[in-house]
Amino acid sequence: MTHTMRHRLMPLVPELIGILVLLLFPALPLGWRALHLPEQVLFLPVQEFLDRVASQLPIIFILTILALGLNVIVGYTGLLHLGMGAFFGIGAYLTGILTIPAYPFECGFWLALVLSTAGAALAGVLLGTPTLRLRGDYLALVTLGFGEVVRFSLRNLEEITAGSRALNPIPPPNLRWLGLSSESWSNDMRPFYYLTLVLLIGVVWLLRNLERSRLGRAWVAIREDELAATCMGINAARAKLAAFAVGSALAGLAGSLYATKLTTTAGPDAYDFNRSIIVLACVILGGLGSIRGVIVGSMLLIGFDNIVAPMLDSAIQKANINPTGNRLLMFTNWRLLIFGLALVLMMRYRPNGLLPARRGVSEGAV
Amino acid sequence: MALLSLRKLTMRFGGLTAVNGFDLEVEPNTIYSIIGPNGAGKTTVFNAVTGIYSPSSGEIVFNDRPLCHPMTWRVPVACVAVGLCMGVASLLLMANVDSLWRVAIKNNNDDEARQLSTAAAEFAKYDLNADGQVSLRELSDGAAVQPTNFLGHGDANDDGQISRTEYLRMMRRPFDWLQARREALRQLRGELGLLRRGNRWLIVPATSTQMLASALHLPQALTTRESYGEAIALAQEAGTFVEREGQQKFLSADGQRTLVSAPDADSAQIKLTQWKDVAAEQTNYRLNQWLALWGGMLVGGLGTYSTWQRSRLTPDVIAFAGIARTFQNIRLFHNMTVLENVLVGMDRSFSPHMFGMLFRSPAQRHQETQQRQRALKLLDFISLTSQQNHLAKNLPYGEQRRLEIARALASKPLLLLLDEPAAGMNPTESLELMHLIRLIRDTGTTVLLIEHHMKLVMDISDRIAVLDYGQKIAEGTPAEIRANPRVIEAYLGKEDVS
Repeated sequence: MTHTMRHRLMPLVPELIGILVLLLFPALPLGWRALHLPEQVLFLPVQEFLDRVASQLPIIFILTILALGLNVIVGYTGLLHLGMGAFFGIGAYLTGILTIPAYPFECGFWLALVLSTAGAALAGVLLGTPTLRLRGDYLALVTLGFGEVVRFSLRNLEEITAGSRALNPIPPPNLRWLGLSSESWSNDMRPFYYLTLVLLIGVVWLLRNLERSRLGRAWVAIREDELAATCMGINAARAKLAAFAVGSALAGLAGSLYATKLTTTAGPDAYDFNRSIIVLACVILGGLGSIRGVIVGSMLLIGFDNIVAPMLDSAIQKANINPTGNRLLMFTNWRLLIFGLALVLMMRYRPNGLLPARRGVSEGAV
Repeated sequence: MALLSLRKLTMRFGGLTAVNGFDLEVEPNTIYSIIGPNGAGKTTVFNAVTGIYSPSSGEIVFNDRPLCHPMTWRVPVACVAVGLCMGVASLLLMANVDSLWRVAIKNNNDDEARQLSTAAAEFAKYDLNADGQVSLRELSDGAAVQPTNFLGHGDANDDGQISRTEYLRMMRRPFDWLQARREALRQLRGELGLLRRGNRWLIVPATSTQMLASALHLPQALTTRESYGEAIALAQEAGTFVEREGQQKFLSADGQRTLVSAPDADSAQIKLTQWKDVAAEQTNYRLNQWLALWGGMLVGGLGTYSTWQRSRLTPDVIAFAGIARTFQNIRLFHNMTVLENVLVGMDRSFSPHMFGMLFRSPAQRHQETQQRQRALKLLDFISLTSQQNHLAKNLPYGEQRRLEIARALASKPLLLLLDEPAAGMNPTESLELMHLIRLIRDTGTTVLLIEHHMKLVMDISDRIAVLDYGQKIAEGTPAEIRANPRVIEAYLGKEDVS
């Protein structure tokens, strides 16, 4: 018994260590402060870095959920989807409509979270149904177009979405029974950190289950050879729709969390093509169809985007290297170039991603 | 009774006839081979049977049933449901969704919080007493505002105006002080509009009347004064022109109601034309709405039905009916393990419950272990157990062929179609394959075989059909086929007598 338990847990060791580190992480910046070290110059950047990491990690977790959703569609099922930002936006705006006081719903965070997840899944099915027959480039074009349609709808349905002004204020989740007042959500980073972390772990768990189930196998089979899969009795249309539904649902969940974290839906341009492409880059960087890979990929890419780039920028500003505001000396402007370069190098040296899916290895343990 | 019968199966691709009037009867528990030169249309027959192509003409009967979806209650229900959704969607597309949202949701709510606080101070200025009289308590600028100024529309008359008493009566019922005060205040500010529906007056916020007006393409003044039904009735009525009390009036056909009144005949005529235009626009709009609703429903319902009808021969349905196949060029799932390949073949024997899959319920886990045992047995059958965790693409060629057969067997088929299983095999391997095919037949699965390897075909087949240029040129036992001159001719060509 213990032997089989150990046998089962061994492949999970990296995950367990990761979860442990992430669970304990918030103690680090706080503990650092509690040490009351003399404010030496040497420590300041470290402290600043830790604080920034702590404030950005919830966003990274949220975008990781989004990337995991995209991974279901692109990684498992092999359907190139370029409009994930739209479903992210649908989730965010549904949460906005359902919770802000200007509308009569005001149903609170938890119900809104569930409804936006379901609503985004429904939107995914609605997009999926007519596009089932499309493959490859054509599907990519349709999803890209859908992303733009949603963005422009969000902008032009002034009465519903408040146009480019965004819906706000979105109230924080209600967790009074845990002793969390509504102020503590905005003053302390920990409630959101743990909320998003727990949801991310939950999503990973559910996806691992799905991956090893009938549906997960059907998705991969369709990716590998759709004709052979249908000849084996897999209803390809249904499996693809399920992939669309699951992926969009996760995007909706991420959008809902994102809007709640920012307390606003942040305007339609937060859900544009750029968002879809960066999330796709996360999936490709980490490894298509590999949950671990996607997590690592989005941590790296979005961490670079949200933590490293702004820090380098402020460092350049502090060192007064760029007093004239030369654009070439601003790091943020080199960001996309570095993304591109990283992806090109990836494609050259590790075409399957940083942590490619290792099918069969974990299966053997069960 | 034949397990599979093809009756006059014909496949045409454009001008090319790949298979022409092919008849075939496969008895259960036999090994039936289809042979013929390359390009004779053998694989096309397989593709037609497994639903990859639907036949141009002819019939495929499997297990005494034509291959199609059974018509169950779900089909009409789905058609109606999709139709309804399409109808409502097209109706919504015609309307201005943004305005409707404002009317339906936002306006009932958005200003209430804001207004109630500011209004509370203003409400204090007015008294609304029990018999519906609104009286002014005080006014900051001292100007006298007569209650009639905001309530008085004169007496009830044909111009669609409301009497003061009627308005107050409406306001009193159900008597809600806060509501009454709010409405009085809104009316005072010009925020309330009146909308007549039949013989009932609705008090709605003025903004929503505007919105309704723009949504329905109506001049606002008319929406506040007249009901749409009346406007339509007007368009159909022949008005009687009379002059009364210095006013030119158009009366309704029954002479009871004044439709239009104006100081002189010309402007009355213009007014009537305007009214009729509006009424025509209304009728038009309603017709469009009607068309959108029914058109959407028809397109949705019929579209669903025809999609269902055309989807009757998809491969997965046919696989479910009990036909499994292998492919001429091996089509394994290369990046899945050997065991997973077989498990995909068992797809239909897993429970379809989403929640079980998401949460890996005990029932699900139990089923998974059971199916794994079955898959391992199958792998044992083709002696690939030791490679179960290898990726399929890493297997040698002969093992890939065997794995494909195991994958096809995993769906527990009644009929197994093997497309050139011995292609590229050495003599030992094809001997093993022959043994395997016999074993499969003995476990109760009928085998339909395409093969070029004559020794194998002649040794294991119970019956053979020969195809040449899409036509069956011979059928019979191996001995008959071997002796048939037409078969020899098809394979070797005619002996030239020269």
